[in-house]
Amino acid sequence: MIATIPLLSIRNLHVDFKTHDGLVEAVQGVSCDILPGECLGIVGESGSGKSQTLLAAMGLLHRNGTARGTVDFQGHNLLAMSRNELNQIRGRDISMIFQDPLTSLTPHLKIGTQMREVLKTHQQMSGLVSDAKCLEWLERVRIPLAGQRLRQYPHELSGGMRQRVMIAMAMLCDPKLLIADEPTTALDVTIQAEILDLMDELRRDHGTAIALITHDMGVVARMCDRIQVMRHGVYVEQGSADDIFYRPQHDYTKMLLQAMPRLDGKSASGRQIKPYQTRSEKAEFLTVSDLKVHFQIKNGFFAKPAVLRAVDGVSFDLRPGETIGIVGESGSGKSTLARAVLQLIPPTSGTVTWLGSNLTTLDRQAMKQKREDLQIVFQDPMASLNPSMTIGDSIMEPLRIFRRDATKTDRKLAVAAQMQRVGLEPSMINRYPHELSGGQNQRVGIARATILQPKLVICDEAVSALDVSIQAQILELLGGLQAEFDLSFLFISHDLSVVREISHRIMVMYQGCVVEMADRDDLFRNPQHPYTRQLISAVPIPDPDIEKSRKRLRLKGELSSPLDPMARVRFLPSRMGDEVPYLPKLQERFPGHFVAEHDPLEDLVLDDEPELERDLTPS
Amino acid sequence: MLLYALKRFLTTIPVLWIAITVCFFILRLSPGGPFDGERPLPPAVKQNLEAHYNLDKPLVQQYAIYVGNVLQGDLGPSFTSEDFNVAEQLKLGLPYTIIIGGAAFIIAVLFGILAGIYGALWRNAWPDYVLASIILLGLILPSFLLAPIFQLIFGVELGWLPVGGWGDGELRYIVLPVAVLALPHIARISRLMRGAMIEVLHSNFIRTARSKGLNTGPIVLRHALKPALMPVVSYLGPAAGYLLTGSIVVETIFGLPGIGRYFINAALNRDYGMVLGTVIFYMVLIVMLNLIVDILYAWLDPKVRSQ
Amino acid sequence: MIGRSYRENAADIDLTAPKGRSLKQDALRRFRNNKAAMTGVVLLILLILAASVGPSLLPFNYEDPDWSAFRVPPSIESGHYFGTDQNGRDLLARTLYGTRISLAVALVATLVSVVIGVTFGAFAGYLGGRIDQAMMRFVDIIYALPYILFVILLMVIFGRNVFLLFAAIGALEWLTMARIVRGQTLSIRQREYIEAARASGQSTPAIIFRHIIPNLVGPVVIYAALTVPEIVATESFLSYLGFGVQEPLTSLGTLIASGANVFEVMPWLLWFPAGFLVTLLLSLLFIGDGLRDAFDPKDH
Repeated sequence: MIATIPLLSIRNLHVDFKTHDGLVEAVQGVSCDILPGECLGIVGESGSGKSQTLLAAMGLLHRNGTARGTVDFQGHNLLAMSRNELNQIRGRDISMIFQDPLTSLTPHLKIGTQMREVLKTHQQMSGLVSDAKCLEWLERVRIPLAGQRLRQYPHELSGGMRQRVMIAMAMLCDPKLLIADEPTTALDVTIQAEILDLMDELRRDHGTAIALITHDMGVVARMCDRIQVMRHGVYVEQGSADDIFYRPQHDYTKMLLQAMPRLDGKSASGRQIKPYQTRSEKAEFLTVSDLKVHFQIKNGFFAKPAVLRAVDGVSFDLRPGETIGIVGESGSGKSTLARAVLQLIPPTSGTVTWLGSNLTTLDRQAMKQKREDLQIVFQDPMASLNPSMTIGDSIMEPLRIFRRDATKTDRKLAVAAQMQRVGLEPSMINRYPHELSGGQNQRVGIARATILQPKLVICDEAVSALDVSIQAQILELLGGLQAEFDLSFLFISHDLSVVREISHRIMVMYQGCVVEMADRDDLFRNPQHPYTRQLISAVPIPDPDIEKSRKRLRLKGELSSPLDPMARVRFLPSRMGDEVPYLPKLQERFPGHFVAEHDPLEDLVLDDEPELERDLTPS
Repeated sequence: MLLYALKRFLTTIPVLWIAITVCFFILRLSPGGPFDGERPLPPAVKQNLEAHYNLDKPLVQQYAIYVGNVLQGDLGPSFTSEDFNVAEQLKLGLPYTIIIGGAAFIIAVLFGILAGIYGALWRNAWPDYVLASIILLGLILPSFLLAPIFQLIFGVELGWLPVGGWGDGELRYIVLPVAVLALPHIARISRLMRGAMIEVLHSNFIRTARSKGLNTGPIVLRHALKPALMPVVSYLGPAAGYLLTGSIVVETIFGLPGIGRYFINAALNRDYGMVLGTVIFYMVLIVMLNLIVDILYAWLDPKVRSQ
Repeated sequence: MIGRSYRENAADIDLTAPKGRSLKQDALRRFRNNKAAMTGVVLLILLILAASVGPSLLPFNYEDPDWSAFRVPPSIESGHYFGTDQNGRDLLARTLYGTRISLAVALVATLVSVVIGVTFGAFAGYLGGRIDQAMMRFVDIIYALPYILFVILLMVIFGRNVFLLFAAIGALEWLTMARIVRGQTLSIRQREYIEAARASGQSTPAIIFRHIIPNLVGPVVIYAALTVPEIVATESFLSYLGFGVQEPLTSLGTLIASGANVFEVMPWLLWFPAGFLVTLLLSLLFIGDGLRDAFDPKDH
């Protein structure tokens, strides 16, 4: 490589935070260079200090944080600069985008106002010239109806649009370096793909260097030339993308790569689910048929309430010992479906048949008896445990309800044994949730859900809030429990790779409906529905060679509001003109492989022209 | 927005109605009547009085007459003063109360907000500690204690300002009462403002603004001020209420001829008509102030405004 | 039956596991480390001790005049450490007695407001929907009205009765408590551990008593602590105006009122009760702030 002068060079950077519990050394002496025009990936799990490194460089640390070391940018040490000097550079030479685009834009200022102030601050530009420049950038980041957007407030845009606005705003002064802090973590996977494409394009067209902070090895493989792997405040390994992915040296890097579930099934972990054995007996287990959950949304005082069809006619059946993965983006109704199956939300219509009895018609008392065999594990491990109870008491709750005759000691022994089973030290029985890590708390949640040895456990995004290394352990635990007790799972996740890892069959949901359902391998080998194909193509794979050669499938339209009755025919535009909104029907295209009606793929693919989409808010 | 304001206005009607009704029944259910003093009145005189004040009619009819009168701005007769009815007495006192209360309100809001911003920007440095001590004083010194202290210091010891009276509304007569009335609210408002400002300065969009290279001035004024004002604005309604009740004490201590003094005198003389009339008047005033504050609040929030 | 598969390894499970630290214990620890709050606690304990046992240790009674000492300034020789008033009553005895009344009013009124507020708020929050809307609308309406005027009105009409005063202040101070409890109940109701409890078949009363109420304790304690000084101030305000505690009974507000009338000739009659009131308010304020910081640690 030709020796280039680095754009930004960080030397021996320390970041400390003063907290109630003493000094926390978040970053402990890291050094790295960012070269002009490159994309440097900084990867690490939560709490590794990856964000703080660059926030410190930008002078954006929290008040209780202090930074030591040097951050050299074009011959100046950013850490030694006064705030005024730093303000000359921030937003002009180095700009930044953040994880949550909704809270990162000032809610009470119009998009245009927020963009124009950058130009006014750095280029003394105002009036029409400034407007024109803002407009130009909004169009360049492919925001439809850009002129209108300038006059809108952030809450009037969708998540993806907001992140585009953030990018446009960051690019206004043609910065030399763009720092992106988990820019796509809060977004759906199809939107993520578009944002990543956009950033890549900007880098190529404008020569802007990008520092990409992320926890997702797939995103890194997709974007980065060089990579820093960070853990506990230090860089454990650095190198080119190829070095890191194909010749990892450090154990932590190897572990990260192994733990990462892969969409192409080439997981290095060798983790395998117990293959599903078809049983001879035709046992009645769980059958869901034509389940609907509709909510009335009030729109002010006089307006007729709108109907939100969260789940709109879902049918499937689950067999004992089987795992069905339910995948969908936000608003697809997958969590509502889970709750409706458990009767935590009353279904509007349809039936849920469990071991021969229809749950939707049971009274409270009868339903309570059924709950012994039906359990649920939630996404947020902390929120799903009562903070004022010890974890032992939380795990014991189901015993208190269904094993009333057991003695206290027996219950305690059962809890301790269960804790061992899920990989928790029984000596932690008297601890409180806030004293445990996220992974440990999720083990508590699983212990609580499985202590009665239920027949069905619903996992609602059960590993989504966890770091990949912990995620892998939890997946392993779930697989083990299934093998041991012949458990069935409904495994709900937005993450296709995770679902692939653990499911026998997979159901893809879009706007409250099933668009495709098939055996796992069939679904990935031979995806039929355009939406499934788009999803699969959008998920980044932690392998730079594969990732850089893959072509992303882009379809017309955007995920629109589930209140919009036309949203369902997005993949069947030929029925768009119907008077009565048409509900695409599920057809068995191959044995056991169901696909919802859709128009041919060629009609749906987006050509490279920026599309003019419909307004997002249904009026 | 206009619809919101209208809707909000309509909600004040049941509030006022309930308030008036409650007052009416409290009054009518009082043990003995207003004319059962220490010395029993001759029956004929009492009967005459009751007829005069409609007390001999059935309760429902009394209620109807009363509500009707209130709606026309007639707050009824004063039971002790033959010369002026309640509304007339209130009219006499109102200008003084408005001047003192209004000045205190404006000063409290202005100083409270400025001090709060100041404290938030300099937090945990000496300007913040100075402010915190002042806030503490304002919170623990009730106005009836603050007033004599101020009178003692500025009136008696230093002799700068008169310890009481209205003068002819000269500024030096107004300074002390306004200061006594305003200080506790400066404390409360600046405490609210400081807390809200600190919270807003921690939010993600302020980080974005800083990453754009904006200076502290525009960040505070353009990005942080509006959201940080929200809790302060929602406190203004109750604050106006507290100011009014606080003005009762201040007017009494400083001997100002405002409504508060009429109210206290009436209450001490058990002049039910006057007490009730004043309470209703105060309530209408406070409900209206609350209405203005709520509309202001909605205007600050783009989500409500755009509806 | 549950022993079925667990018994075998029961032998190596030690049930004397170390205790964890609950959130409440954490909060208590933070509270104890808060110097201002601990100062407040010490001051308050001293005041309570003085107000409860103090009067019985003094040779003077709060209402009987010392015929040999009228208008005596504070002095050690005369035995009237705080002096006496126009009627020859010992100011120290009166101040301690007044503190006792003020504390009693605060305690009873706070209890009344907590009981009403928690019940009302928890009901509204748990029932939700239309009932909640109606209940909260009611609170809004009363909240918009200056309640102190109502108290005065009640005092004027029903006569000045200390117990009525307790009840009236308490019955009108519960509004904010009800709002806070309702907000908390609503947010706890949406937490996943409530859903988990429902999913595992727990009954509604069990959910309320095991999962909702224990998690309401923090906010209720904080707000109750913040209510006490409000009530002390309100009581002294009313007494000062002459609508609260009446002679021969006395409270800090009453004492300050009579002291303020003569402060140019007998300043001690104002300064001693004022000092007690300010100390009381200060200690309560420190304790309230300390509790808030302890239960809800943020950068204040």
